Amino acid sequence: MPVRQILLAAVVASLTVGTTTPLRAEMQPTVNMSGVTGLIDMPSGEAAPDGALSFSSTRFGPISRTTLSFQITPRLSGSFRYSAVRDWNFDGKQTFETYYDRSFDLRYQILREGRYLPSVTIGLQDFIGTGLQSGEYIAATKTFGSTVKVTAGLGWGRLGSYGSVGAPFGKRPPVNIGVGGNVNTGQWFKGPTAPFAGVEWQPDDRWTLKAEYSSDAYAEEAGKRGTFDRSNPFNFGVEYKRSEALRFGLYSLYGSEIGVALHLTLNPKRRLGGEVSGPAPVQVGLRSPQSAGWSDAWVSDDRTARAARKALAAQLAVDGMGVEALSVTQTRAQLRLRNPVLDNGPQAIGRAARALSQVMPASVEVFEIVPVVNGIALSKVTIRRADLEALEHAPNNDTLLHDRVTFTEAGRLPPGALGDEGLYPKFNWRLSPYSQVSYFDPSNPIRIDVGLRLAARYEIRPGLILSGSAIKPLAGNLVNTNRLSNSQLAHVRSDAVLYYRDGDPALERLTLAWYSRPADTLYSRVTVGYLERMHAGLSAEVLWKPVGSRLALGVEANYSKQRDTDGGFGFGDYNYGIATGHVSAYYTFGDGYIGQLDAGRYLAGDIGATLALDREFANGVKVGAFATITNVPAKKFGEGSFDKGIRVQIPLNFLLSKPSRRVFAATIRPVTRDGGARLDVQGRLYETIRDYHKDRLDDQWGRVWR
Amino acid sequence: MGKGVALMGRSKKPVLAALALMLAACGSDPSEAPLSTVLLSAAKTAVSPKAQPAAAMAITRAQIAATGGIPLIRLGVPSRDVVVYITRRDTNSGTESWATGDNTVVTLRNGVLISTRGLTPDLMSADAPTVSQLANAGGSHARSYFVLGDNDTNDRLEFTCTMASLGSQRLEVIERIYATTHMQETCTGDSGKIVNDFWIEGGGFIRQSHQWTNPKIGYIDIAKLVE
Repeated sequence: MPVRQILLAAVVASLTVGTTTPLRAEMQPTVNMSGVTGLIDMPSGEAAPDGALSFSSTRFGPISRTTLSFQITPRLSGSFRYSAVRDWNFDGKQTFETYYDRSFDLRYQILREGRYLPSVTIGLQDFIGTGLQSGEYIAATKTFGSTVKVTAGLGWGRLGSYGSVGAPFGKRPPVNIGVGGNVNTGQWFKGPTAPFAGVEWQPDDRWTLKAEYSSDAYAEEAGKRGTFDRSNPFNFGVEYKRSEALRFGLYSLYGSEIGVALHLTLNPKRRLGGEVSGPAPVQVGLRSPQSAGWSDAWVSDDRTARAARKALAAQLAVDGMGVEALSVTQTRAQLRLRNPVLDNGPQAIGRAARALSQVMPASVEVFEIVPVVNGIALSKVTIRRADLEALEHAPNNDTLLHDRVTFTEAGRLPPGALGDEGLYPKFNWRLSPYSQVSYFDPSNPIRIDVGLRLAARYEIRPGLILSGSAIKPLAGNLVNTNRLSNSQLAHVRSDAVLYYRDGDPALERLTLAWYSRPADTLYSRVTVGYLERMHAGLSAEVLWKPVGSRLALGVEANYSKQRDTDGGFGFGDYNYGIATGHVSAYYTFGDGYIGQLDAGRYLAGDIGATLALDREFANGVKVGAFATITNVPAKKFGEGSFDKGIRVQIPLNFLLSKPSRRVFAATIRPVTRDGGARLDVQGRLYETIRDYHKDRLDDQWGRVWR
Repeated sequence: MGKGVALMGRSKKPVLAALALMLAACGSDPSEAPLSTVLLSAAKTAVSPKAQPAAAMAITRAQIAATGGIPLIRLGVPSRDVVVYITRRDTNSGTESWATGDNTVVTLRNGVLISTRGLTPDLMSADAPTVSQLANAGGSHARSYFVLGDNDTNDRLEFTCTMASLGSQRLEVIERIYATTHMQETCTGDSGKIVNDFWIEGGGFIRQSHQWTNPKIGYIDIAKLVE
């Protein structure tokens, strides 16, 4: 997972954009030391802009926190935090260790700021965790003029631990930590409550001054363990906004400590590399009146057809695209389109349509463009040539064209279609750096290896792909840990460190995959070989997904054996083979929200279900969370009780705005155990086909004329 | 397995190694620049001061004549410090598209800007007035611009415009004098006020113009040299 690359690119890009802010906008919400919208240590009633993704790293005294927050909807946001308290076991003479904790927050804005009313947010801090960080709050924020904001709120849990004014909803029951991971609903808004308040002043675009009264007593950190001295409840700070993306803060906390903060905020709707660029498309070819009468001879003349296909391929090659197949009748041309480069489906389709208009004889009235991925046809976009000619320069032409094209099932390849002899077999290879990261080891919170990855892909014929990759670690500290798996389940995931240690070099994957279309709305995949670093075997999948449907249903069945840790071809280390499988439902709710429910048997033999929710933006940035509950009891599962995590996907195009379909993806789990683990097979069907089905094409349609 | 994993001595400088590796990517697919190249160019953009304004390459009528009379315009993009002389790529029922060597395209309908490609963020399409509306002092009309915005949607910017005549003007464009009327179009809308200028010859030919494109690019200047 090249998180390092993402961060590096993000930093580079954040320096290039947003250094000018010509307009004085209304006051933007800022982020506090816990990485959520707020003041210094206290939350506020505001919500971040819709979709905002922020990464905060803060530190004061012995306490540091790293938080990833996402504004899931305009009102709902979620955060994942990793915090550390140094000097945890200070005994008066020596300090021993650092206490690490992971926590999830959820916030909901129940009221947006109006002329008289403040914005009001209810928040749950550390709502599935060990409970040490747990707190609930309701906070209200009102803006005065364009430079001053005032916040007041009530906190419970740790946010009600200083200056309590009573316990309106009764006693707070003690938390049952167990192995962590419980949702502590019984505690919410129970126990003592305490008020907090603060004020924020933004004299200009760059600077913000903040002051607050905190209701957090730091009972454990300051009181019981004496990791720092909490002299008073007052915090003060100054923040500097380097750009829309980058913000620094310097604070005085609790009368005794200095704090620092760095906040990186990403607006996933706005490419870091600037707007979509790249050369203009070719114009729509115009038909001269005298060329109208083409005879049938053209169609039957194989030589002319081949020449047309060659000319079309040359047009498409400008954008890195290719002809999988071309079928032409007197009035209709069907292009099976291959697009390995352009990140935007409609843009590829729009350019292919214009290329067809340049090449096709005048009698061809209808263009059918069928995008092909992994050798399978995904949908058919039918465009009337006359519409293309009429709308090229019309105002609002993307919407007008959208209303006139149809999106249907791809159907069978028309008889007599000309394949491209030059396309198959097709061989690609790539040698590139890779990085692999492991998070949250208490002795070494981020461990990383970097090295080289050699990947190759051989498309034998459409839909049949032999591919593989191998890595050679060159540097890093992934193996620097004493934490070996103590899992009571089969070690299907938790021996990762052994795989890191022994796999130098290692074969990551070597598979033969066969993709097919058994019926109009069905897709199938069979993958056999070394499926992933830890498991090898056979994986078969069938997916039902009509082009225009929001719902998709899938079935997957696998048999796999656990591979040796050395990254070779053997299976001697583990004598572990298992049949796993899932039934899956996928649903797109609109606005890029996607839900996925998988139920079935997992790698350790456990049975259960995974629920995942993602939000995907038109440009391909995707942020989501997932949780898996299986029949493994929490105690047997181990730390965390059940498998859960967040995932982020960032296209290279988002970082650099250059045409590319490369994507960086990272999945972050608070802890990786063996329960609820699935095979990590490449090229699952839903992700393979989605880009060219109607929902996604609609989301991206604004670029059809780009 | 005792006290755990035997720690092999890989180098302890992962960041340095990662940076070195950035330069190493290569493969069979030429359509994609290696990450190293693009990152370096991004970093370069980030640290280097703004490019110096390119001294507007002045050309003469003789040079224009030497091109053999192919249609030519002068396009100025002040926000990019660019002045270029570009030729016509194609025409389509009253529109003319003009393309630079690197395939940045500006499309005009009878001299009125209706779209750009490659002048990011692009003006994807526009509902623009006709020349007779622009020549009609005191007249008013509506205008819409569709700009490729965040999240790959086309943002519709609407304006209401009125025309005023700033009188006749003898306009010089590279050693030639044209008799024109300077018409000014003042538009107001949600995104503020914009002012477009057109120098129109008798017969409704727009010889020169100063036209708004989008909030980031601002205005562009167009002069017709050879029609």
